[in-house]
Amino acid sequence: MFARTKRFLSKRSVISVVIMGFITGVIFWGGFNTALEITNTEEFCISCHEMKENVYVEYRQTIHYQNRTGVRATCPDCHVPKEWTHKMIRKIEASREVFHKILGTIDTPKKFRDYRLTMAKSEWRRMKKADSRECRNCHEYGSMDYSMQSRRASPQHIAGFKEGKTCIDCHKGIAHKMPDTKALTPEERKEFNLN
Amino acid sequence: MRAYIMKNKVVLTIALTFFMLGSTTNTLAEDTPSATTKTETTSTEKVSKEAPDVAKKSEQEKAPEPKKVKVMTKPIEKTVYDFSGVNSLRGNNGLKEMALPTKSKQLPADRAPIERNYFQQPPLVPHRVREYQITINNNKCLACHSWKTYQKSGATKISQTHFEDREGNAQSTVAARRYFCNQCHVPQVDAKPLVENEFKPVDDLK
Repeated sequence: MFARTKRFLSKRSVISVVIMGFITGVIFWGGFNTALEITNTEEFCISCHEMKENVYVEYRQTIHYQNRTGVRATCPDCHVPKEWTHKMIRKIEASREVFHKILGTIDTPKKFRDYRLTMAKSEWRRMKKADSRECRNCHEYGSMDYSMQSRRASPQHIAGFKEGKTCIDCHKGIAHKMPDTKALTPEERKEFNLN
Repeated sequence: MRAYIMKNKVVLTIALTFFMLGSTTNTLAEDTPSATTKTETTSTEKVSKEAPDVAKKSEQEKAPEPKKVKVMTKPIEKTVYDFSGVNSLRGNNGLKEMALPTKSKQLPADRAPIERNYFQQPPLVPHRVREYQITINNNKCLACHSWKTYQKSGATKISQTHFEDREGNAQSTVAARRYFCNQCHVPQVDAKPLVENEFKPVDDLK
């Protein structure tokens, strides 16, 4: 018995197991990461008609799609966190979206319209909770030069940040159309800073 | 007499060829419109000096050549770019040249409220309104200009007249016919008027 174990743990086999493990690890991790990155592209997002024919069409009219400087923010830039932990959490949450895709929850324009407020609320809450983290990947308020902002934007930004507001509190419906907010309760209206 | 006419015809043809040559070189050298117009006028003057004599004589004698005479008296109109102040949209470019791209008008990002010019003029929008959604669900303008929000945002309040329907009945919300702000309220680019305008607003509106 002892001899067998000894033989098994002979130098050669240990080294070979370590090497094999390393190689399979690289392959699996690399494959996992690549697959994850594929799901993190605009192409992947609009491979579903629900995205392509609703939100993507709206987004193409906005400044995050086309602007003077040519910097474009695509779907994952705003909707998927950049940091690994947050990204993983969001990706696991996204399995619910796959489930609803299979159910066909929003597969017609009518269904999409009816469900839109629910989806918008969840995204507004996610953004607010994370202090508009994805906005701040580009628009960090510490880097804002108020003196270069327009006469209406500058005082509002200063006041807003003083109140502890975050981007999404005011900048709603900037990349997609606003949902019908009539169904919101007064508390929710206050939560989302809507009049 | 016949020989005299022949002689005249030769002179005429020579003059014609010179004129044609002149005009063709004009079209080639279109870069300096002022110069081309000058040369053109001189060549036509030369021709027109001789032209009436020929016309008279040919009329007296035999079948004239009206086509040529016509060409002499009325030179082909081209490469003259003076439209007395009125230009086509292509500008003063020759047909062979490409029109220059027009300068796009920039919308100023933000400025002080623009003065009104006449009584009951809808106020102009002194800021950019790109992406301001005015949909069935949302009116971005009213995020600042509504009665609820105007004080906080320091914006102009929406007029009470906008709550009346066409029969003059007051509504609790903005009337449907007044909902689409940019039907009347529009931003302004910094464009000089094409035609001089001496209109002045009434003193009381200043």
